[in-house]
Amino acid sequence: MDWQSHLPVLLVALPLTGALVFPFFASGGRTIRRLGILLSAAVVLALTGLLWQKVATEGPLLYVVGGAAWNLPLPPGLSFPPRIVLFIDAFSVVGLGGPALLFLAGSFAWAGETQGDSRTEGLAGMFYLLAFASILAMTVTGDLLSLILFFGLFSLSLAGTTALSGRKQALEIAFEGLHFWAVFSVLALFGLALIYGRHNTVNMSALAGVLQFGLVEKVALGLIVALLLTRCGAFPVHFPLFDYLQEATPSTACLLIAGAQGGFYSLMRVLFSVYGSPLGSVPIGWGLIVSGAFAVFFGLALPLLNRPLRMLPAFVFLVQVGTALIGIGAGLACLGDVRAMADFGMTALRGGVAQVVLAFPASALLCLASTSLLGDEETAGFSAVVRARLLLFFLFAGWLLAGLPPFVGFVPKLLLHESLFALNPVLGALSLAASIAMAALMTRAFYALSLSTKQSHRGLNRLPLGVLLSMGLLTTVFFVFSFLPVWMLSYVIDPAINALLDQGGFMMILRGGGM
Amino acid sequence: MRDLTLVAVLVLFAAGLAGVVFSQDRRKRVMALFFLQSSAVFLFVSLGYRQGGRPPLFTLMAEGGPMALPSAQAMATSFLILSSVTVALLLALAFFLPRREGTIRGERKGRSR
Repeated sequence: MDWQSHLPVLLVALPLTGALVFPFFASGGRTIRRLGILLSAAVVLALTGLLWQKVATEGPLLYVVGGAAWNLPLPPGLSFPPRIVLFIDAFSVVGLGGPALLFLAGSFAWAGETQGDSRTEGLAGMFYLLAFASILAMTVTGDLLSLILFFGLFSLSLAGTTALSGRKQALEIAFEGLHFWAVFSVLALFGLALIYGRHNTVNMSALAGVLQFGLVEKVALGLIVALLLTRCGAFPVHFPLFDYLQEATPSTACLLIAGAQGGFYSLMRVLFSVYGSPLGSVPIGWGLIVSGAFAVFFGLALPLLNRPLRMLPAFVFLVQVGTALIGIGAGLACLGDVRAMADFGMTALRGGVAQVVLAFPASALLCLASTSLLGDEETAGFSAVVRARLLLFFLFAGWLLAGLPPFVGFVPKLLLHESLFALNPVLGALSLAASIAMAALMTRAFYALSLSTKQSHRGLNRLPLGVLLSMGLLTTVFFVFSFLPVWMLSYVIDPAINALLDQGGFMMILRGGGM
Repeated sequence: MRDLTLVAVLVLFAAGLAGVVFSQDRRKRVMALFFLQSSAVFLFVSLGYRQGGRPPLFTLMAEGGPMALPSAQAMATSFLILSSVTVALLLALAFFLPRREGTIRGERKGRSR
């Protein structure tokens, strides 16, 4: 049997196993701990690449966990799959790519950070691996209950990672965030219980075929979407993620942003693949647009008025989340209207997905650069030469996030500008104003950071290798994509959108549609 | 029997929600969260009940007859385990924070956002 048939489960099982054995190897020394984290991240990225190639050549993949046959989701005589099914199509691969890249970037940063003694570092590494394994599991899982379960595991690991970071407010933020997410998880579980009680299944593909969109389904949708919006960092439930980002170390920032990417992936999967076309006739798309518009407004207005520079990455990320939500909401609002979907809905959706794929890692780059530039109270600052290098990374990230050509950051912004104007001119104007305001914000922040001499005389002359490699990796990826914007749209974004909108294919996957 | 179960779920949920919303003490909020989590799992398991059905075991599936979905029942139990771990971590944080802050009350510090 071809070992690559087991890629979907290996992608989750390897980092999960790594997380469980990490504390036992942690006493082996600093080098072993760093190698363990880096090796896990590299393996996950390689497996994601293999999955990408396999899905591109063979179509969607299916994997039955624990069954007699890995490719038999429906044993004879059953109408619903009795076991957990992993499902990977072109959209899932895009959902995996971002977190896998951020996993490697974050692991470089993790390796460069001082975590403390071997016991603390063992725990921190375990939580770190567990969090990334949860994101990957959220992306490949085919049922809603395990989605909520892995969501809970991610929140737990994130809180553990943050609590161990040693930052001033870390404990309080970890407590409040975990408590908040746990309450929303419970509410989502209530919603899912209602669906389970009615349909006796929690499998996404099976549910897509039987959901009637009655009152029970609407209540469940509201509760599950609320949970996923908290993970995305959407307004008005943005504050746990916002607080976490303010106190994040470089590696935790990568983790948080990868988690938000996973949240967006799950949100789109539930909205488009599980519920699908009935949502075009209800105002949930406009709800997402309004939420996104508020996020963009507050994310730009508050830092432009006056806020500490330490809060800048959190505000910038809030704007990126808002922009993505506007694009996805616009696509969802057009779902019931074939003509509107063809005219501008599809373009808006492409813009929304491209925003998640491109602007989120760019936000991670900004976090890495600004966290290193600002330092914290326990660490000494960098010398002027090192600060100048960091400022180059900061400038590059700002350039990408403002959507200025020639770098690839302009792609989602351009798609969103042209489609949102067709949906509603006010949205088009907001989108344009947001890009201009983001450029102004980045200029102001760059000005403030480059003129700051507060720490330059204290002087570390060398940037930690881990952080440098982390920023270098993300910068290289963006440089490569900047030469290939059309290729990226044609071979990455468009197949993902087509897979996402193919609800019929998603329903058929259990009946032999997968490989 | 099922109605009684739902009443129990409702009572647990109401108690948990009241604690989460109204309590200022972090430890009480954590225990209220555990009530909420237990009520959700209780509801999930009880809604899987099938009149005259078999226990939800994979090995019994071949024999036919009504049965709750085994994987969902198993994962509801997993959720209970995750809830316990979450509560343990939250309690650890809740007990550790007062040492730093000098109070067990969890008012936010008014960080601007």
